[in-house]
Amino acid sequence: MKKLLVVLFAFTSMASAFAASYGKAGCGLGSVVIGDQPGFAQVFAATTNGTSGSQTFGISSGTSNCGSGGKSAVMFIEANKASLANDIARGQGETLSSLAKIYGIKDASAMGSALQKSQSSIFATKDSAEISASIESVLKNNKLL
Amino acid sequence: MNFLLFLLLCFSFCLHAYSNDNAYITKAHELNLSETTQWLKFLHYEKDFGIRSSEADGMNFFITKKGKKDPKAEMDAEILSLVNTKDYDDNSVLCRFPARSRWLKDTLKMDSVYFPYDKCKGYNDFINEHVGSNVYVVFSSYYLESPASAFGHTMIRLGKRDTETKNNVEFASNKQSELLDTGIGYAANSTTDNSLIYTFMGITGGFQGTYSSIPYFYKIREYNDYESRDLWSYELSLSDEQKLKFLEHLWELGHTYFDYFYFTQNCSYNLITLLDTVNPEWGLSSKIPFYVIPVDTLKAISSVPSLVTSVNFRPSVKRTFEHNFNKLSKDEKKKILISANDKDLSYIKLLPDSRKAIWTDSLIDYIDFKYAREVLLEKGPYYEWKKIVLAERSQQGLNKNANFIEMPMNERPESGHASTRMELGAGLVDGQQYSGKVKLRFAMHDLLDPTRGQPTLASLNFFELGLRYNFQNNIEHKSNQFQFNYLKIFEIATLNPWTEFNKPLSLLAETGTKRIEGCSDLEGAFECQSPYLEVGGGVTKANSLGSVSVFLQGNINYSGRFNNHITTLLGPKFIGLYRPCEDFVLAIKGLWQKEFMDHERVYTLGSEMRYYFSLNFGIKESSEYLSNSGTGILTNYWKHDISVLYYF
Repeated sequence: MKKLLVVLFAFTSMASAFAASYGKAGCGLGSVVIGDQPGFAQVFAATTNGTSGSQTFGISSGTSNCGSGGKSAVMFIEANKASLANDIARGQGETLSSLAKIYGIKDASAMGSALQKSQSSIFATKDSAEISASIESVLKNNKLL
Repeated sequence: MNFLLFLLLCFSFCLHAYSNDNAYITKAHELNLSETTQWLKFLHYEKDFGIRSSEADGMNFFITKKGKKDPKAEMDAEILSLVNTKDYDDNSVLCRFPARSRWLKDTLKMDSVYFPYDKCKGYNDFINEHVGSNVYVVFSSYYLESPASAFGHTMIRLGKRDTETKNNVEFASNKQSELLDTGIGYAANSTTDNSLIYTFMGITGGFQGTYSSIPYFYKIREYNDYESRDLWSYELSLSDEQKLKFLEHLWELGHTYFDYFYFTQNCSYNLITLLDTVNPEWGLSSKIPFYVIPVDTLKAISSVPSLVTSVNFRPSVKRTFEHNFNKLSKDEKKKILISANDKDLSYIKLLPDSRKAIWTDSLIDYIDFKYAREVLLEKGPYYEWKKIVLAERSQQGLNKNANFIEMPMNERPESGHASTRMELGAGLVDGQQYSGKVKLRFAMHDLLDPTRGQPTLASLNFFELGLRYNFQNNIEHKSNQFQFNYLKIFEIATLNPWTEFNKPLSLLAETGTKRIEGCSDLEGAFECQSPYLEVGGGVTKANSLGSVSVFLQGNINYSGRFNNHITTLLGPKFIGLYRPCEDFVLAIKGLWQKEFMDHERVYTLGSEMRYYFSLNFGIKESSEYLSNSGTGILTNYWKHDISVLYYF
């Protein structure tokens, strides 16, 4: 019996060691909270911690918060900032062309080269709203928006 | 008079309406509609020990309380409610259960006056957002850094294809709107931070599993970028009606919850039951084992003829980096590492203009992959330095060598061997004791299993049980012929090869209980068992033919038979793998360990060969010499095994 307990203990302690990352993991991915905690880092943190009470953030609010919200430029920039910074520095890329779609700009390559020239001034800040504003002003100056 | 006429009219109308209700219900009863597969799938009924009950656990998934167990009562209640609703809002039966309502309407030819879908606001917002979207089953590849996601993960992607931009060649990408797609996931909602409670609740159904919908770019950033996992999308060929049915049923599921069971009713299982509702004829849930791992979802959908129309592969940042890095010259490669190490960009000046953008792009990918955490959290020295690199890059124009990484066909996850393995064989211990052996492993892959579609140089196993029957016992131990040999509860190994740009640690861990050789069963089967824990860290070098790894490994063994009950051993371990072709593999293993407290020394030297006749069938031969000077009972002996492997 004593041996059995040891086996059981070995199992549970092992299991708990891998459960620590359960929240971030495969099927245990927590719901992402959007709105209350904007920002990819926070969203990611929320994801990894397996946020509770996500009932209110299910499909129903998911559509209003994520669907349309996700397609707003600031929201998009916030979540895709690193990749967008790469694309703007490179003057092309998937994240950039997706942003072009959000703005309704057809000539994504013109948008790419316009933003590339202003790369360092656009990303002088971490703030997504400010980044979005300077992107929009570059686009307006180039008569793309 | 008018009043009387009105009453009469009203009465006849009411009578008409009332008789209509009965007519639909009567018709449903006549057709025995509540026992049709489609209705049972809509309500997610399953039989447990002969008792039928819905797997949905949120009572708002049912119109009547009886509905959890009684499909007929639920159908009657639904029909009655549909025909009696006067004011519609998001809580009306029609708006909450659009898919099954539509099916009842079509099957019973119900009057469309009872189905004013346009009055359901929330439902319409959802449907309008996604109507016409293609449905993809997405598999996020194995992530061995976290055992809970080492099996991979499955989710759904809803994506609209914009034909106008689909052929936009300017960005040389056929999936440029994937970022704007929607990800649908099914996940457990944790209510605790305590990992022990977490594990227990996760396995026993203590958490509620719910569906959620989020922009797909979150999934890309998390899996593809941060965790460096490849994403595989399997596009389903659904008719417009099936697409609508999928969305409507998803809407129904989105408002309820299911008790979440990590091994059985997990994301993969629930996606299967969701798809089965769209077309019960696919019979997907009958194609999956009792324990579902994510790749089983892919195997199930792939086994239905022409259900999967195309497979799309989205490489991780790591793979993208390696792909581009390998195209650089030797000097360029070296300078990536040196420049990143010194945070120095002066090398760019030495490059010809045509190479500047190409080289800097690789450097950016390197920072993203190597310093993913700093990039994500937007702080740290490499986050700051990356800003300078990007500013430099923005001066270099376009990189015309747009990269496209082809799908690695031999890594397609659904093409791998089945994860449960049965092993039947014979063994010889110490030249005198013959035994027949049966081993059963629940999941999923070890270092010597066929590599197609599996994580390479990685091993992950849950629950392997070994039993044996001794034909010839030692004279002094004439007890049980039948022996419980070992139980491996959990085993993981990641042999991360060193590369030019990365010097990762290789890790291994294993826990379980194994038999002490030579122990007499007179003392009881468990007395001969020694629970153990092994943990090791080391380095690996690999090429296309195989790998060589050296570890430092620590073992903790427990047994009442040991002098101190617990032995703690430490020492070097060697693992060599040679795989000249897909069908054959040879492994050489060696271990030398010394007890901390005692003077005990253990060393083992062994080899194992396997040959696979097909993906799920092979033979193996292994030999091992064990020497134990100290507390062990049997000190020096050879062990030989030969067996047949079958994966199912």
